[in-house]
Amino acid sequence: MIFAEESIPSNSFLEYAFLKYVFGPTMRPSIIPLVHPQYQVSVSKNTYYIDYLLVGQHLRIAIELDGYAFHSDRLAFSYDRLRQNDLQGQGYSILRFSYDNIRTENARCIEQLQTVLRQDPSLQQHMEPNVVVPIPEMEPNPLYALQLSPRHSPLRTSIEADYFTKTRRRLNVNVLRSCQFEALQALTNYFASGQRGRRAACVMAVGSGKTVLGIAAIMAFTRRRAMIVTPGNVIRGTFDRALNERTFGNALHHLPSGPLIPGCRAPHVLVLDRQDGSIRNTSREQLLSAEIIVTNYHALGDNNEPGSLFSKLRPDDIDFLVIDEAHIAAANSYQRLFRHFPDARAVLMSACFRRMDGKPIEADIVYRYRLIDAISDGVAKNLMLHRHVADPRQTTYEVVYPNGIREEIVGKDALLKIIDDERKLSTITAKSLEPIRRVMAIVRQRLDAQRALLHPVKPRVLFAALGERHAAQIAEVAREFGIPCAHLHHSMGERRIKRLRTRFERDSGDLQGLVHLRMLGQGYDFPPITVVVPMRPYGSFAEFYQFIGRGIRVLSHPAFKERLSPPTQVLDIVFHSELGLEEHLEDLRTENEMEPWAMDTSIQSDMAISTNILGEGGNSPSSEPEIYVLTDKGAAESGILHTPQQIEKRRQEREREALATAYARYVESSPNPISFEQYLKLVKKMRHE
Amino acid sequence: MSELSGKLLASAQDLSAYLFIEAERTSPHIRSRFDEIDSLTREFLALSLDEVKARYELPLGWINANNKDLWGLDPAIIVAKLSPANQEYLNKHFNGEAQLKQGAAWLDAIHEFSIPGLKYKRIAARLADNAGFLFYLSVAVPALETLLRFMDIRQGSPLLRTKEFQLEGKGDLKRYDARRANNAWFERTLAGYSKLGIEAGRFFGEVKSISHFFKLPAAKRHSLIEGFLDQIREGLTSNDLVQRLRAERIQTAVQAYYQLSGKNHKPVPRRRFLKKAHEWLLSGYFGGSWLQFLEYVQEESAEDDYISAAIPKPQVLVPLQVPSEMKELPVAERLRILDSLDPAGSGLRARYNLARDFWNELVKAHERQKPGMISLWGLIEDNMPYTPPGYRQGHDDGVYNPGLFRKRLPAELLQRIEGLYGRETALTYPTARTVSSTPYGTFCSHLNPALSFWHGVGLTIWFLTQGPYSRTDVPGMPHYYRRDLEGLAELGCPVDSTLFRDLSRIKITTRGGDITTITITLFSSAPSSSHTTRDHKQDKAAAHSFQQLKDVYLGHLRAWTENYFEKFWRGCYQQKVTECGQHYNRLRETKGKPPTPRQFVNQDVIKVINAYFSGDIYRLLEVLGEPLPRSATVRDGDLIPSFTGLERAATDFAKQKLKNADERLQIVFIEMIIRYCILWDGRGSPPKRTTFSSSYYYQELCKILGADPDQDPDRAWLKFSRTVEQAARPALNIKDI
Repeated sequence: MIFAEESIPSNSFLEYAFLKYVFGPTMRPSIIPLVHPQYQVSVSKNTYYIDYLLVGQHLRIAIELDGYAFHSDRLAFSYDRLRQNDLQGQGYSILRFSYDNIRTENARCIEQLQTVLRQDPSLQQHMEPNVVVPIPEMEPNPLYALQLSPRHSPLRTSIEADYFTKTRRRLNVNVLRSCQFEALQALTNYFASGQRGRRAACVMAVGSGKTVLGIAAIMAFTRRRAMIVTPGNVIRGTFDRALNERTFGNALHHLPSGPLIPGCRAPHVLVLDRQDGSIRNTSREQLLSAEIIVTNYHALGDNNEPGSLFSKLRPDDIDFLVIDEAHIAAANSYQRLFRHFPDARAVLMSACFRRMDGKPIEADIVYRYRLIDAISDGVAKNLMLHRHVADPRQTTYEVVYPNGIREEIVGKDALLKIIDDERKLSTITAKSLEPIRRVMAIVRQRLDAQRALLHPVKPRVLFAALGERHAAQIAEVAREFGIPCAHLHHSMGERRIKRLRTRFERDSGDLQGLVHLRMLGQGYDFPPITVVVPMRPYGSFAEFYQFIGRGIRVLSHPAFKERLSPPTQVLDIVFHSELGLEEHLEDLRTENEMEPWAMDTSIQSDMAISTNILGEGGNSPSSEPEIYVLTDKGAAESGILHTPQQIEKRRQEREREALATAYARYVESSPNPISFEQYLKLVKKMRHE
Repeated sequence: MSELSGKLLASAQDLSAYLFIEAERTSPHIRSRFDEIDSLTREFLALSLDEVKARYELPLGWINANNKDLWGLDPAIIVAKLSPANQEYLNKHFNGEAQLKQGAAWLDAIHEFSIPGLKYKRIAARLADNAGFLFYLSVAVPALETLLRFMDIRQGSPLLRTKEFQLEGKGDLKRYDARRANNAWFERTLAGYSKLGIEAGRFFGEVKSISHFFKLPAAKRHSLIEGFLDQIREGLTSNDLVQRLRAERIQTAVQAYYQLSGKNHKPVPRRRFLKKAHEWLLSGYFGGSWLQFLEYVQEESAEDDYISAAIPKPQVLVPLQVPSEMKELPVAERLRILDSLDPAGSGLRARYNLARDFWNELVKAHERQKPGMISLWGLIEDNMPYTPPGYRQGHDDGVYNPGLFRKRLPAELLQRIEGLYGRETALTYPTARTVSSTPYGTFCSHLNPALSFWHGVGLTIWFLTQGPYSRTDVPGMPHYYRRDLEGLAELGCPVDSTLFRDLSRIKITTRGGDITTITITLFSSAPSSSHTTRDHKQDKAAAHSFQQLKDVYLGHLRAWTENYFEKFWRGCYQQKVTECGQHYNRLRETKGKPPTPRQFVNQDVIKVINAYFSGDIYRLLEVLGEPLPRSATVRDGDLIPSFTGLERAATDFAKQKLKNADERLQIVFIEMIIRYCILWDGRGSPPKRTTFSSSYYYQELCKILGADPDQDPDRAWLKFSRTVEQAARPALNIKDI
């Protein structure tokens, strides 16, 4: 018997435990020269690190250690499976041991190791003839595998490390959705043993809960301090809210099955944004007092720029990075981040394989969760397409030349001869009144159907527009159809935008529809959106997919429990056939291996669409002032005068929000707390009018 | 109709032009509403003037500068005299509930009216419930103020006798002097009347020479004033005076709107426009509706504007009992949930337990009371003057015994009170807290009205039979304690009326007075001697009657405690916190956003925060179900480690520094040192001169310290503040001052 754990390097507790409780008891010291820890193997373009390689005369045995047992329901895209196949292809014999195997069945692990070693006499000779099977001293939680190996020097300051050591022990993975838990398992296996890699990617369908996964990953894998990097303010805000224990619906405490880190306080979070100059004014001490720093790409600044975040943080200050919507950022954004924190491990999360710049995501994809998986698991709504089909041969276009002469042109082909650009034609269709009206009629119909289905939740519709005037035009048409609607634009000022969003998002708000440009992009996630209307052509699939994703998450409401199971919830995608969106929808379908679309197609009648186009030298049709009718008074009033019902509802919303603070105190004190929903019910009994 | 209507109205040169534009440009339904209001106003004002003349001798005796409602009218009397059509209109269109639905949140508050005509009677009414009051305050009072400015001393009228009226100035009491009236006032007032179309030249010509005016006989002066009043009264019916009154008020508001709107002509949000005068204007002429006002000026509403059609009822968290649904959980878990809502050791449960233990001690103290003992006046710390240690207020006769609670209550109980009530916040620093100067006083006052009643009755029966005097007798008790009794009944914890019946059956014998016997020895040069004896027989009868009264009193007190104490404590908490919630919601719905802590707090709110939440405003908000911002924590001032230490340091210093001064001045100085330090700790910076400079004693103290605040206020303040800081320094937690 040798003290392998003392003689052979180990990075994590998992490796240490393997050496101490399995490898050490099995081998004599003479084996040590044949053991290669963190052995690098290159297979085609991929580089892998084998946890421990044993090199015999005939056999090369790769020992792979997993935090969780090596199994996955979604093997098709498991990084580990690909890696295993690659290694086997190179002639390595693979032995896998999980944390639980070592802890509960180490005699069997020893036996398995012996069986394989016996196949190679050069290795067999180093085996211990009289094995004494030790009793492992290991914590039951497999996440403990991630702890640093006891051989490692302690972290710089114990205070910093204490918080995450505690949360890792307390992390309640049972409250995660199955896809989140699987992703966490995959990440654990990736990070637990040595240097399998530093950058793992999880590609998960929109609405499958990446924010919660990101936070759970931070709690599981951070040792010192984590940083969350988001592409823009909306997602930064999402993380900010998710990590704020005083906010209703936060990811720390308000998950439906219970709190994520019971018995722990919420982390100290610092949210930084360049816009308000807060980064320049934030001292290094303030940064170091946070356990999690949330920021966005634009706020990172250059390494050399004085006052930037990079200039204030040393490379070892951050040891874990979460990068959300990784497909959005350009390659150099990542590179700067990775260069500055070279030893930090990173999780890249995205809904798309492809980055917006068309390049693949630069990380090992350890987990994939397709939209079809999300739908079948009941976390995403079913998609239903409603296409307004125009007959291009019969469409009437009215061309207005700069000299004022008007000409009617019948048929798309005839028009294309004049403008010679199919994409421009899509834009014209998008911006023309009649097509918007046709689409709106379908929207109205779908909203009515959804209203009956979702009662008491009010279904909402989200439109995408090309420009501010276009957005105003769509909102105006929506109001014509009795859908209280407003539009958002960057130029509006933060207060106004916030107010419009509030009117749209609150149950007590008056708006049912919102037209946005790119304001509510990635990370905006609002389950009551049950109708999405891309009233514009899309160049990038990723952008199109993101837009659809805004309403894909299923609604949960106590009233639905008995009558509206998630599979019956539907996201209606209403679009116009001339916008060129079919290709993106097809991509969506094939990438997710979905069945052919069930299309509810509204066939265009013989009535022609009348479209105005200004001729050469003229402005685009959207600039025609008479299209844009000012907001009518009735609509404006309805947004200002709040009814007693709305006010009471808002009071209840505030009350719920207020209880988050008390609940956070409770969660911190209880190792096994009741869920927020149960807590709300109980506290309600203690309220008196 | 032009979009410029509002702007035209704002820029109208005179009221005739204004009324012309209004008639031309506003929609017919607005005009017809104004016609109806004008008709009502006309009748109401005419009746008001008649009523005033009938009830008061003009002009003297009915205008009192200290009364806010100058015309001393009870609107209910006038309303009763209105024609049926106007009465109906008033009830329909000055319906507070309907106005609340239009966003007139200010009508939800309870206002106190001091009406001189109803002397000593203050009426507390919710405006939304009383159409008469609403019309009176929103339309009639401003109109009367405009019409009668010639004799309104608040508006500078010199037409009243010099010595007959006094004005409360800012901090100083100044004698009003008619001779100070100048031509500017006459010109201004005359112009005001002429704008309304009232010909005041002749009247003003006669009274302009003030010295001449006051040389006239009183009857002549009265008839001059009455004549002008009759002229105004006539104007109400014969020309467009009422319309002009209305137009003048509305035009001022319209001009204010465009001032706020600025050069870029941005829509003005309601919250920016609303101030007290504009609230009354909306209630008076626009049905309480901001949107109706906008329609009148033909302007768009601001995009992010907010009007609330209701004030939600607060739902107060009362975490004192475990609901039955919670009983399925393990005990430890139940406690954790309760602790999260109500921290163990400092929360409501701890406070309730303390209050109950105190109450039991109070009952025991009254049980122990026997004839010959000193009175229990002083057992409860109410609003008696501050007495520093080593000083005495009152006499050594055992009647009033300040600080008695220290001797009669267990030290452990007082320590618990100190622990729970030892820190508090104040109006000027609602998000910070510091030491409390009177933890026991705060504690006692939170038990009112139960404490003031039961302890009060205990004292009364003592003083009736044992004391030198009593403030009331048994038959007078129900009246003397009526407010407490009403308060207790309102909380559902009534005092059994048989208490007074049972007490009244007992024959009351007062304690015998001292009988002084003087012995005179005749034919002797030795001085006369005297000695005092008491009437022991009467004392015995008094003791018996005290014992009988006490038995009845204690019987009722114990029964009430058994039946109601818990309910009372909970009800009191619930009632007071609910009032805070109503106040909060009203502010929130008026502005459309949560008020800041400073906007939210008033004296009542501060009392609740100190009584139930250890001075932490955010705990109150949590209980009200209002979300807290992430950074919501109360700053704990650490300047004063112990109140007793500060008190001792201040006393030692004052005794030494002012050893030759009057004892009262020493006490005031000690109080000032303590106040200075508490404000310093609470605000986080030393207080400013204005906090102290208006006090008479400040002036005196400065002079003793060698600086004259009138000559050189800055130097005097420097001297004063340095001295105070020097005095407190040994007891403060600071390195350098």
